[in-house]
Amino acid sequence: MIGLLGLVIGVALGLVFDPTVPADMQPYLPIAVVAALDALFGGLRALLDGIFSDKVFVVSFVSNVVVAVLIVFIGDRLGVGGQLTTGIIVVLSIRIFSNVAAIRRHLLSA
Amino acid sequence: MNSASVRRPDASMSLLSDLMANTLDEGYRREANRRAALAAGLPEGQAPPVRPRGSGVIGALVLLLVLGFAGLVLTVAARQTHENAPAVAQNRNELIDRVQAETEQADELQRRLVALRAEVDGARDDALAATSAGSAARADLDQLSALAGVAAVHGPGIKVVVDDAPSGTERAGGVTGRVLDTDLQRLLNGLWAAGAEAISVNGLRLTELTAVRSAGDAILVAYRPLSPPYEILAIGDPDDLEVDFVDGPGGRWFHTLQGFGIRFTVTAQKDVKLPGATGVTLHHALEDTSAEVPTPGPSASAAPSAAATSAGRPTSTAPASAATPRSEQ
Repeated sequence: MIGLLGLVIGVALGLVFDPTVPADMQPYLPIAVVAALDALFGGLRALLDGIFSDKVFVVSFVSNVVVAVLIVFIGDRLGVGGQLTTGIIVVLSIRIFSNVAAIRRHLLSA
Repeated sequence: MNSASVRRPDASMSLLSDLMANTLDEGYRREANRRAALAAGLPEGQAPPVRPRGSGVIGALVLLLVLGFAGLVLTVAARQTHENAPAVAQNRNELIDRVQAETEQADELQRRLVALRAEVDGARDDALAATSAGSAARADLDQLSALAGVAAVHGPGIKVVVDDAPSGTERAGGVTGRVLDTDLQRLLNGLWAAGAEAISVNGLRLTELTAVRSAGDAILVAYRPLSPPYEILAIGDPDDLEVDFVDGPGGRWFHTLQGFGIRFTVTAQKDVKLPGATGVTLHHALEDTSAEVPTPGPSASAAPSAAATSAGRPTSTAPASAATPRSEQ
């Protein structure tokens, strides 16, 4: 429940303050979002599996976002940023897909 | 995990199957196992409080913070994309507007060029008409510019219309019923050979510098792409031009092409009007003044010099005045 509360507060903050992302960081925002989504759905699935751990969730969330952004950043420096972005999106979206499927099995038992 | 030690048929695809099978962070499983081990080690009834109470509050706070951050990032990203979308579209529209504006400006400049050229011609005619030598020069000039294809001309002639074969009549073997640049070249050479004195293709007057070639699918005449049907107007002897052309190499060539579905019609015209060509400039060929007597001098007035240039021009343009280079090709 506290997680849901945090999510709501975050969305509200984003809507109210409308913070602008520095131009240098803008290309990495979508990747960070997808990485965050992956961690979120992973946590949700763990919760439904009954093995949720806030420590693991926080660590996986932060490392997910940081690593994804870092990979794209390095890729940009090497000139393969676009390809690495695609790779990360593919991997993360496959994970999101499977996790959502697992969540669905939990919730709908189908 | 255990099945990985036994070699599976899809072992070579381990990356993909790993990706598909282990979607959950392994940390959750390990933490659960650790807790289970701890709980098993402890006396019953003491399993839940694994950690001190304080760290539970901190953990909840961190969780709140992280999820708050997640919500923030999501919102900001969505907002930014939403706000950027009109900007991107606007950029594109601005570019389109600029292209159109520049195109219009280029057209306007072209119109001004034509108008100014007409003005210059008029002024020159007026200036030349003032003296008798000037009048002679003007007559020469008119004659030469008509020959060179710069001046608009009219007279009896023929109209030749050629067009690609109707679509859907393509034959086996990849034969397409399309008029090629070489076909058009044969046609034009045939017209010159039949005695045409002036020719235009789709409103573009041919000069001795006009190239007929293809670029991609289009035929370029004077570097401008044409689209079929091609309407060729030619001025020449009203009695002979049509017969000579149809019986000549150009007409016979197209008679053959008609077998491929290419459409080809020739009609005699009482009076055809051909426009002058624009942009006829010699960049490298210079007038050979050594053949003439140059009349430099401080006392030389405008009229004699005009006469001298007009006298000098026939020799310089003589090779181009006839269509012989084309018709012999």
